[in-house]
Amino acid sequence: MVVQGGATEAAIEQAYRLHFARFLRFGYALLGSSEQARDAVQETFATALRSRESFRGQGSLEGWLWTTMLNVCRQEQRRRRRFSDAEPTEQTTNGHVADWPELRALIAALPDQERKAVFLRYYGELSQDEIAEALGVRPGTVGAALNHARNKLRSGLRPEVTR
Amino acid sequence: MTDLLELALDDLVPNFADEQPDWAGVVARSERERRGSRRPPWRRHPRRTAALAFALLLVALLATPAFGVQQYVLHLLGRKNVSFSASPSAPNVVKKQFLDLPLGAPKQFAPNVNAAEARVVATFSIGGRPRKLWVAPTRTGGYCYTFELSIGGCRQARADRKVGEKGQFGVGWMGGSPRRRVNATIVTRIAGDLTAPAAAKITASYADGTTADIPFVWVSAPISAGFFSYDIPTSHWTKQHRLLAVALSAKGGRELDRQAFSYNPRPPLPHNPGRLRGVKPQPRVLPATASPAPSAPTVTRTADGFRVVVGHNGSVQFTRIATTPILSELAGGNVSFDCFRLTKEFGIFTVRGFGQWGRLAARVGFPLDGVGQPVDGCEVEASIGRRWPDRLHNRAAAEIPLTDAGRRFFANRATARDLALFVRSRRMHTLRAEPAKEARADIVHTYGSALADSGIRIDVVSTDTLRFSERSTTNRTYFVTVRRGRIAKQNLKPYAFVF
Repeated sequence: MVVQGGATEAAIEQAYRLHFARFLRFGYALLGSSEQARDAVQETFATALRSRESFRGQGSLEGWLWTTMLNVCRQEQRRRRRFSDAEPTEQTTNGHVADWPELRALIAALPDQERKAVFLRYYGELSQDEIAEALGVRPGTVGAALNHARNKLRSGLRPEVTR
Repeated sequence: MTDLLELALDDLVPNFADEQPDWAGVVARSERERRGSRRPPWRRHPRRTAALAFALLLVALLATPAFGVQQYVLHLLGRKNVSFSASPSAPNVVKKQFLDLPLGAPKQFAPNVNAAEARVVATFSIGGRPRKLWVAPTRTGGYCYTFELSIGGCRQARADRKVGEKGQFGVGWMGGSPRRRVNATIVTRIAGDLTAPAAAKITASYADGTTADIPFVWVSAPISAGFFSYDIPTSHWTKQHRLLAVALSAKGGRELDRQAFSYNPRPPLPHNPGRLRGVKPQPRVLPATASPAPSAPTVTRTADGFRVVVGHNGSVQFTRIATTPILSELAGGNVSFDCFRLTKEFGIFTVRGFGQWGRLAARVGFPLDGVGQPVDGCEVEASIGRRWPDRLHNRAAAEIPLTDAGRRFFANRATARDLALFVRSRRMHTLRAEPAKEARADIVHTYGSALADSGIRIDVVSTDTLRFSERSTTNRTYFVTVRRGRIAKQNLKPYAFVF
């Protein structure tokens, strides 16, 4: 979606309604709680609505929204570090917090940029170019980061692991 | 990405399929923050603002809970009195938490909490977030309390309050963690309750000689107790500045009680590496008979090789009277003996169950603490892996319904489990992600006669949506709607889970 010279409220609303679950999933992956994810998504779109004039239409509206979401999550993480309180781990949809412990550990050990790329790719369902736009890096860098991250994550999934 | 990696990543994060977007909320937030980002009024009219702030402070000092401002007052005052009767009722889900407190507790320790009377009495800042304090009276003159997503406790009876001048002053604490790079022995949060009506002030004393007032609420009768939760400022998370003591004092500074934190290093554990080497964990041996024994009138039922007797006093006795193939297979292994009552409490359907985990035995008995009457069913459940189609037909190793409701529960659960096992299988995760028509054809082709023999029906709802459904013998239909490979809607809870 490309909008020239400022984004309209209708376009932002449309993106919100269309991609709400994707933003939520990404927020949950980064922040680890549905409550905070919901808050981050609301804050992202409120910020976008407030500063929609500043969107110059040089990239896609979606890319701009993802960048805003990343900034909001970064602020929340920074704020949380300041208050530094360990929030209780939430259950996933299948009700088992202990699922995929090796994978969780490997994700936690990924460099920040790689982790974000994986989350944007998987939970945000963005293409390599879109991830590059959101993260402000070149598509090639995203490709390499994703490749590197996947290899690391694969190593944590033993072939005998069955569901 | 590999399929398995994709599945695993998908598994880590909820799909939020039931989550509804709230655009009105976004617009309201945007407006609110836009207004807030203008030049602040205190810079435009400093004198007027100072006068207003003073007036607000006065209002806050005089405020009652009916004004709904107690959460702000907590930051200003040592003690804030809150009227229990004027406080809003707690949400049903919280009332149910209070109701579940006696589950598994022996009768003498059951708090007898009056869950229907639970109320929200204050909001505290815990970990930098607003968290509610819920309290409920007990039927024996005590109370139970819970800080939202934090600690809680009960003083079951009037006698537990030790009403005298000092009363009770319970201080729980939380230490640092490696994640926060704070030593575990450093106190980072304290919370608790107090019962001395004369309590006026809680004071924290730090190793650097400084002190701080800790705000607390005093909740009126029938609770008649005070509560506090306080995040120790990060500046006191070091050895030189750490919390040393918390003192409770009355008006005029008279100290009522004090809790000190000594920070004595724990003695090291005796080094005995050989102690556990080669020792296999032994299966837990369960009590053969219930103590007390089931009292009359009893309910006795027999099924799947077991006879179950449930007494009026809530004790249960399992006795094996025959063998079945699955019981023979499980011999010497661990199982769970459970009984349950089906209830709808505060509008929430609940399987109120209690069980014991241990070695499969011919006789097992125990009291069903907190389950209540009538007991609807009992079962012996084995920890065996299940794959669709399940060789036990989605049943426990032994299912003994005691009532019609229990019989229906077992039937419904078997159907829900069957559908869940089918939809969530690894292969299905791949198949169901295809466009709906192709997915249906591929699923039918893959599972062939097994699917035809099952009661599972697959409907193409739209180009990207499939609906799986199955009807139980009680005529209840369970369904899972899958949109673009993800669960969009389902009604399997609380019988089974699907992802």
